[in-house]
Amino acid sequence: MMNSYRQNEGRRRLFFATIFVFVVFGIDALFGGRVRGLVRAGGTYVFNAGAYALVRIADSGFFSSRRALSEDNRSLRERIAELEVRAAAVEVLKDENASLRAIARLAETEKGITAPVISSVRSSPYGTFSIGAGADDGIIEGSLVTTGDSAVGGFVVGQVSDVGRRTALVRELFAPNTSVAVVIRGASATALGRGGGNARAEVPRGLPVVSGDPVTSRLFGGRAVGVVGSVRSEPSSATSEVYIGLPVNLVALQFVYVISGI
Amino acid sequence: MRVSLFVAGVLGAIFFPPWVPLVCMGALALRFRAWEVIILGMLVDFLWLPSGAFFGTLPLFTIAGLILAWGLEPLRSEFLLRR
Repeated sequence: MMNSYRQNEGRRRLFFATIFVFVVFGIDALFGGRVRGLVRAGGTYVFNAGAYALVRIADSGFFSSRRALSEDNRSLRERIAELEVRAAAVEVLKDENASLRAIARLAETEKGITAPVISSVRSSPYGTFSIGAGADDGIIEGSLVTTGDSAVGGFVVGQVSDVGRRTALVRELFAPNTSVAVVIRGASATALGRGGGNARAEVPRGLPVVSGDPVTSRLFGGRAVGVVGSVRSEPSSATSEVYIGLPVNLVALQFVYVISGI
Repeated sequence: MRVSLFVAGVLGAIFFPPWVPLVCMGALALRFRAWEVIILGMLVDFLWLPSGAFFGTLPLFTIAGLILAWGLEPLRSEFLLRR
C-alpha cells in the first residue's frame, strides 16, 4: 500500500516535470529565447565563479609546484598554437595573395570587436560556446567569429547563433554533423564537421594536397577556415580523404574577433 | 545520492564534457524515479542548444531525459523500487 502510494507520487512528479519542460520550452519560444538567455546568464555566472575559485586556490600556493609546471605547460602550448597560427597564415598569404588583397581591402572596411570566451568550449554537445559580447556591442545573428582580425591571419571558427544583450552563443564552423563548402587547392569540397575545430573532406585523388595547405571558404568571403592536417588516399578510390583542423586549440582560446554585417 | 547526482549533473553541464551530465542522467534514471533527469536534459539544451533560424537543432538532451525518465519506468518498477 505504502509502495503503491510512493510509486504514484513519483509518477505524478515525473508527469508534472514533463509538463513543466513543455511549458518552459513554449514560453521560451514565445518570448524569443528569453528563458534560455536567463539560463545561460546563470551558467556563465557559475562558470566564472568556478574559474575564479580555481585561480584563488592556485594562487594560495597549495599546489605551487604543480601549478608552476602547469603554467609553463600552458604558456608553451599557447606559444606553439600562436606560432602555428602564424605559420599557417603565412601559407595562406603565399598561396592566395591576389584574393587576400581583396580580403585585406574588405578588412579595412569591416568592423569587428574582440570578445572574451566566457564558457567551457568542450562542454557543449552541439559544438557551441559563449562569448562576452552581445546585441549591445553590435553583435547580430550570423556574425563571423574568428581567431583574430583577418588582416593578421585570423581563422573563422564559427558563427553567432543566439544573441543576448551582453552575451552570444557561437556555433563552431566544424561542429559535429555540420557541413561547410570549402576550397582546397582551388578545388571545391564539402567539409563534414567532427567537432573541436576538426573536419573531413573528400577531394579528387589527383589533386596535389599536402599537409599544411590552407582551407578557405567562399561562404565567408574567401577567409581561411583551417589547414590540411593529413591526407589519406587509397589506390582503389577515386578520391582522397583530407583531414582539416584549426591551427589553434579551441579549448585554449581566450578571446575571439567578431565581425558583424557579413 | 540523488541530490549529489543532480548537482554533479548541473556542474557537469557547465564545466565538463557532455558525457558527464549524460552519465548522471542515466544513473539517476536507473536508480530513482527522478524528475531531475528531465530538468538536467532541459538545462543542457538551454545552455548550449543553438536556436537561430539557420542553426535549429533538436533538443537531444531533453529528449534523452524524457526517454530515460519514462522509458526506464518498467525496469525501475520491476527491479529497483520494490523491496
